[in-house]
Formats: sequence, structure tokens, C-alpha cells
Amino acid sequence: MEVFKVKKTLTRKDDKKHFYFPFVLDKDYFELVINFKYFPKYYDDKEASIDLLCAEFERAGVCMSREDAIKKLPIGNLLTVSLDGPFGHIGNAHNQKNDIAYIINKEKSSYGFLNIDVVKGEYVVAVSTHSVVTDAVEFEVIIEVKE
Amino acid sequence: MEFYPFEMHTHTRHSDGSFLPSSLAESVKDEGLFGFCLTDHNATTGNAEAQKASEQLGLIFLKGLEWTTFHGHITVLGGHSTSDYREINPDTVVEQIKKIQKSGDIAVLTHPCRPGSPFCSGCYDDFNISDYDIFDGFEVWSSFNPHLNTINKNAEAKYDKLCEKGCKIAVMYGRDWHGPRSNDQLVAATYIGLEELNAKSVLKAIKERRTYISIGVRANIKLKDSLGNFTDLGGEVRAGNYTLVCRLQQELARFAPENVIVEKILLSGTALEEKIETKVSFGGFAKFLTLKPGFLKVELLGKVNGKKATLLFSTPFFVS
Repeated sequence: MEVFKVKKTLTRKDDKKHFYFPFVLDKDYFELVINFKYFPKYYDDKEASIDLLCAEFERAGVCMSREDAIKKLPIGNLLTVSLDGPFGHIGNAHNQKNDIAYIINKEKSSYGFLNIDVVKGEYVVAVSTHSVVTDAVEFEVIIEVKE
Repeated sequence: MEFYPFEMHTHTRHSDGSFLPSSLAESVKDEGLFGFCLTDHNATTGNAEAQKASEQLGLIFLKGLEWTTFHGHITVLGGHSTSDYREINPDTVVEQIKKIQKSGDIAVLTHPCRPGSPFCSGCYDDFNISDYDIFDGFEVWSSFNPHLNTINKNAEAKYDKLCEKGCKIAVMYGRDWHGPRSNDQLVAATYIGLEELNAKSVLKAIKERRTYISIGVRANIKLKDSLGNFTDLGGEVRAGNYTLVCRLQQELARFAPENVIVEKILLSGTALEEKIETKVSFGGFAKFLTLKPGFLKVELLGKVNGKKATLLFSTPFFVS
């Protein structure tokens, strides 16, 4: 059963920010699922990507040729999701996957999340923009619960 | 005091690594390291499994995580504290480090010179901290083939500048271990001088800066004063006359490269009138030194698989 949904389009101005979305569970459940996706993952402007890479390496004092930069393509967006509940931080998923469901329950939660009872109370799901390199990126979070 | 090889920067499926925590522990054992710290990105959920596996394998294990922030990365070693990486930014980072240190944990600035976004999530150190002494450790070498990496040379230079300013921080290597490696991906280790073989002693040793980093060399490096007292790497001595005493052996554990040749020892830092470079080989080495206030750093130069390399980079001796 879906209990919360948020969909948002971000731009480069939203890079390196945390977006917090509170929601409430009105009773205890067996399991909570965070369905998280964002698109696009990769930046398809090759020349602009090379410029970004070369600029960052130059800032770090490392000489990088355009040929070497090409080997590091594609670059992409990185958004991560985390969850807090009535008793504190439940977990965080820091990986490159951009279309995935994270499960939270008492027995076997997804990697990065604690095994906990899904109890009634106030929760906060957060989306963190570690890297927004495309002109726009759209993310969606759908929270489902199971009895 | 013996120094033992550790890997203090690792990841599993609990963030973006490919190992299970138990399979990471098996790999640590297989490679001949004495122990490791699990430092998943902003996650501690793999620690329990890694600890259980390490106990079964006879490894020293430290709980930890890596604050993977937009402004830089910091590993928190020890597992005594709780924190929220989302609250860590240039304005709060010093306060947050003090908080975890108060709990008994230590903080290591990781890959401070690695290019960051968009290539990597905030890898470059953009914290703009005024006093780096807040850190217990500084990851001078990072990633595979650290001896060939230009980024590590920049980190070495940054570390040297901090020492010149009076900072006293332990040098660290971080493989930033995310999964199995290929034969051409060579690695170093952080060697830690331990009083006892347990996690508490590892934390104490890093706080007291008893570390060096090396690819292929196991060393014991001490300063001996005129009364016969020895001081380990990272220790503090008064200005005066000393003998630098070194025992150098090839590292034979599986993680180390096989084809390593030691050629020279390089002594540098503000405690010396000028740099000293002398030919050495595996075995014993001693050198009489007159030290003035400053720091004395020890490096070993040589070759790995025929390529010139810095084989060892020490935390300095600090001279007052």
C-alpha cells in the first residue's frame, strides 16, 4: 500500500543539497519499501562532460588530457536516499543505482538499512544530490508498506 | 614495538562495494593483513557481520564508516560514536570531529587531493579547515598503485606543508577497497605500531601517530638518544643528537608486490639542516643525526616491478 509519494525535478542549482520529506505511519507494519528512481543517470553531452572533468582535475592540480578524460566517460548524476524514523536514523543507501527498491523490516533489510520493526510514527525520507551534472534530473520516491 | 600491516579504508555492499562484509574479511586474511576497518559510505550496517567474520579468522577488526559529504570524505574509526553525515559541512565539521573523538573514535581525512564532483562524490578536500591538527590521520596515499599516482604526490606535498606549519598527524594509506583487484593493481598498507594486538591498541597507536605507509617494505624505524632510549615514529623528542636506527625487510605477505628493490633512504624535514640521501638495502641501517626543532621524515626510494617509486613514507619524528 502506497503511503507517500514525491516527484521533483532538479537542476544544477540543486547540486549538493539534502531534500527532506516527512511522512507518518498511522500504525505498525510488517515492512516498509522505499521505491527510489531518478533519470537521467548519465550526461550525454560528451564535450561538456570532458570540459567538466578537465576543469576538476585542473583544480586538483592534476594534468589531464582530453584523451584521458574520454576514458572516464560517461559522467553522471548521483542521488542517494536515506531514512529516519521515530527512533532515529534507519539507514542510507550510497550507491550508483538509479532505479531500485529498498526494503526495511525486522528480519532482513536492504544493505545500508537497519533491521527494525516498522512502527507507527513520524518518518523522514531524504534525497541527497551528491552530483547533478545534467541540465535537469527528475527523481521519484514512493513509500509503500506491507501488513 | 612492532609495526603491523592494516587496511583502514574499505567498502562492502552496505554502500557501493561488491564484497559481503564476511567476504571482505576473508580477503583481508587471504592477503596477509593483520586487520582492517570497515568504512562504508555513511553506513554502519555491515559492521556486525564483519566483526563476527574477523573474530572467526583471527583478524583485528575496527568498526567504522566514511562520512561521504559534498565537501570531502572523512573516515571515522572505532565505532563508538553516532553521527549524521548530512549535518557535516565546512561550518560544522570541526565540531563533529570533536564529538566523535570525545566518544573514543578517530578521524582520518581521506584522499584529500583526489578530484571530486563530477568524477567522484565530493572526494576532494573542500572543507577549508584552518587547523588540520583536528585530524588523527591523513590519507597521504590512496587507491591502487599508490607509488605511481600523481594525486598521491600532491597529497604528500600537502602533508609536508602541514608538518612545516606544525601539524602532527599520522600518515595513512587507504586502498579504498571496493572489490577484488587484478594482478596489475598493486597495493600498499598502513603499518601501525601496536602495544597489544587488539582494536583499542590500533586506535591508540594512530592517535599517537605510530604509523608509516609502504608498498613492499616492512620496517622498524626508531630514534635512539645518547642514553640508549628509543622513540618510535610519530613520537616527540627534544633537539639534540640522535641515531636513526632502521631495520628493513621485504614484505612477504600476499598483498605486497614481489619485485621490490630498496635503493636509498631519504631523510628530510625542518629538523635537518639539509636533506640526507644515502644508499641502503634490506637489512639494518643506522645514521647519526643532529636535530633542531621541526620534523624529521623518513622515506625509502627504490623500484617496484622495475619502476622507480617511493616505497615508504613515514609519519615524522617531531622535534621540540
